[in-house]
Amino acid sequence: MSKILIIEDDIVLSRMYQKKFEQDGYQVIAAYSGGEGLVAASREKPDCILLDIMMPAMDGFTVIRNLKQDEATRNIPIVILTNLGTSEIFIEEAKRLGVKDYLIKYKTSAKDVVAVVEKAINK
Amino acid sequence: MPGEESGDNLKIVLDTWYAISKIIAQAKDLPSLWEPLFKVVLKALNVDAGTLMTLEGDYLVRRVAIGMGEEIMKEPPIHQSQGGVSWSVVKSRQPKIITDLAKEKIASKVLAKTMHSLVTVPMMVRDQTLGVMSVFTRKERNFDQKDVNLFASIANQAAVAIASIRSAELLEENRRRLAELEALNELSKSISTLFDFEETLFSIVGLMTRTLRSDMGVLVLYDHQLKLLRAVKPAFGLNDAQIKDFRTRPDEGVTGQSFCKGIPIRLNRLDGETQQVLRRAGLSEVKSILAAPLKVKSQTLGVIHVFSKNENNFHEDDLRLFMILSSQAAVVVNSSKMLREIEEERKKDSALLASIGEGVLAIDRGGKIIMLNPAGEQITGFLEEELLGQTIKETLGLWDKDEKQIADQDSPIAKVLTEGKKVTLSEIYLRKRDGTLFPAYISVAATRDADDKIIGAIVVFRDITHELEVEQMKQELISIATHELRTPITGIKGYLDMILAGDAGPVSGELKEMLEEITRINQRLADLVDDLLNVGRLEQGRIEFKPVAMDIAQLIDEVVKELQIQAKEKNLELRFEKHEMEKVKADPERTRQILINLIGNAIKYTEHGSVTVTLGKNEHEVIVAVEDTGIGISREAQKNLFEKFYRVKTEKTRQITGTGLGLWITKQLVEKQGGKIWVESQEGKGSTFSFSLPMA
Repeated sequence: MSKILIIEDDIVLSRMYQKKFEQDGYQVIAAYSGGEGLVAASREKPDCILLDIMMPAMDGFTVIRNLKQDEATRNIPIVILTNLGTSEIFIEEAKRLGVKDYLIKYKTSAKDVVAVVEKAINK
Repeated sequence: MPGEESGDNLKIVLDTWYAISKIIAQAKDLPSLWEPLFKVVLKALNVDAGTLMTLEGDYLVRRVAIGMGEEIMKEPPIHQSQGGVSWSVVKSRQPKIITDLAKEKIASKVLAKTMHSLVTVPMMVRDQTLGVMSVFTRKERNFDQKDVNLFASIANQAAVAIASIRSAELLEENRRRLAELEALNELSKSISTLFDFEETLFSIVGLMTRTLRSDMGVLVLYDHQLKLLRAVKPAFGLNDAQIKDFRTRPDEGVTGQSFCKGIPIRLNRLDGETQQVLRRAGLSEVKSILAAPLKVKSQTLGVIHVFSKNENNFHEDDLRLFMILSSQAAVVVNSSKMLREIEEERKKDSALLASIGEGVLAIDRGGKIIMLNPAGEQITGFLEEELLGQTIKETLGLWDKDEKQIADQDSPIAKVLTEGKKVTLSEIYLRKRDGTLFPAYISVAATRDADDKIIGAIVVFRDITHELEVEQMKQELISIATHELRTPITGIKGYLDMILAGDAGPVSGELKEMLEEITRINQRLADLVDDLLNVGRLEQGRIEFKPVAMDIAQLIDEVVKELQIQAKEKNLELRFEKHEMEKVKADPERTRQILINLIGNAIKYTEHGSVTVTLGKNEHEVIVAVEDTGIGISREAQKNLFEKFYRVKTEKTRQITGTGLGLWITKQLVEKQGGKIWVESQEGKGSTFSFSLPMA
């Protein structure tokens, strides 16, 4: 059973994704802020991290940088899930940081999110 | 003549001539000429009294009377129509002798009572009668031809003197007027006074009125809406009611004539029509008028007048001076009109302006500041006196939006001074007295003289710090709102997908249909948020276009394949015959959006038949056409089709949802890439939307 960490500050959306991944047979850990996410990542060692960008206190990009600095979490595949839009600046920054995929929440069905995560884990 | 006289008489004549020439040589002006002249005359002719009248238009005006009491000087000038001895001499140009005054009709009552005999002679110079001289005796005397000849020659000598002194005075008067003109010229050159239009105009009108010995001065401007010439403030010597009521049709009276024909007019006796116009304004006492058109370039703005309560008030020379003065007035009026126009244009830009004071700064041809208004002082912190004579560069500076100082050759102000075209800039920074920069909206226009020559520029500016803050807040709000809206939409979509996928147990029948309906509604909401976000981005220029040389045929093929599912759902045939085509210079992502919008629309508004995409070209552009067999668009609706939030409202479109933003967005995306978009359609038969993109 694959373990997935969802770092998302919006509780409603987080719960929706949690539900979907649980339905599809994942073990799901939820963190509701960037800081909480970093702690969970190093403790739980998930197979994949689903990460939001726009979060208060610590944004998604900062979370990635921290994950990449920690030997224990460096190699966990990350999929960004945001409503920030398709501005190339963000996508390029994400790629530069070694992110597997960049998904736009409202354009991607929950089913497709699962498929992308599946692919990221199996690579 | 003197040569024919006897020795005694000749001596008297020569003595008299000598005396007169001395008097004339010493006379400074006309008043100082009369008395000494007459003393000589009285002595030479051995008479009791004498008088001299000069001809002023239709009047004979008494200038001096000796030996006949003070009373006579109080008598009014004698009008032509009163006749009398003097007037008969003026008209006949012949001397007249009257031995018994009691038997003659003479104009002056005082003289009729006290004098018995007289000789009146005309004062002639170069075939022109300047007036008459008369001598009187209390007792009866029979003047002989010798007396008359002597008197006539003295009178002509006096006439020469009068003419020469008059021309000297005229010269002096002209010199004085010239000096005033120069002063006025200076006045109008310094644009600072141009801003006190009323004051400047008032001083011009006042100067005209005074200089031309008139009682009133007023200017009328043509009102294009009312098609009337109406008096405007400031006027000299007219009350408010008279200004309000002094208006005429452009074909009426002296005002209308001057306006229509564009010529100055001197009216020493009023015609009936002009009298009527004046009567309407309560100006019946006006007896003579000078009127001149206010002309700038080839345009006549109105007419300027001076009024006199005297008939025959104006000479030919007056008209010339009046013309010069009125051209000055025209410049001031035009400048005021121009400033008003600039102001109105700016008012269109923002309703905020009404409450915000605008800085107004004027510079001369050399770029030196000659004026700063109080609002400008408040905005910049500079006092007008601190800026006078300096350039904008030295003081307020001029920075671009990256806060880099703008070089002289790129300065919009320099451009206006050389090219004369109006410039408006919204992203520019100026410096306050304390050294800080503030974002400003500036508008620069040239000021011109009557010959259309650029004599300086007016810079109107305002501090837009607050406006920018508001704009930024608005953008942030839109961004936050759309982001916040997207989150719940995503949540709903996620749960609906799961339910419909059977994750929460089997779903079928009516429940399934309803859930699918909710999914469509949710999608509509998502599209609307998307469109609104795009509108905002397009309006703020926040959408980047990265044009590359791309294969449009390939892109169409991809999009058509993507949309085949939608077409199949409606049983429509979606066709595109891919063939070789020149590459276009466009942003692939934006172009994809254009194609999705147009082909998507075609599918949406077509019930039966097909949607066909074709690819063509002209000399420089590739043209994509999307043809459908749908409901078509009425001619009326075609006009508004590309407008924001416009939706065609018919029985058939009622059931088709949309935001009314798609075609507006599409049009922006096409035009921002240098292309054009258009539609051909027939109701009930179908539509063809076409757009062009430049070849790479």
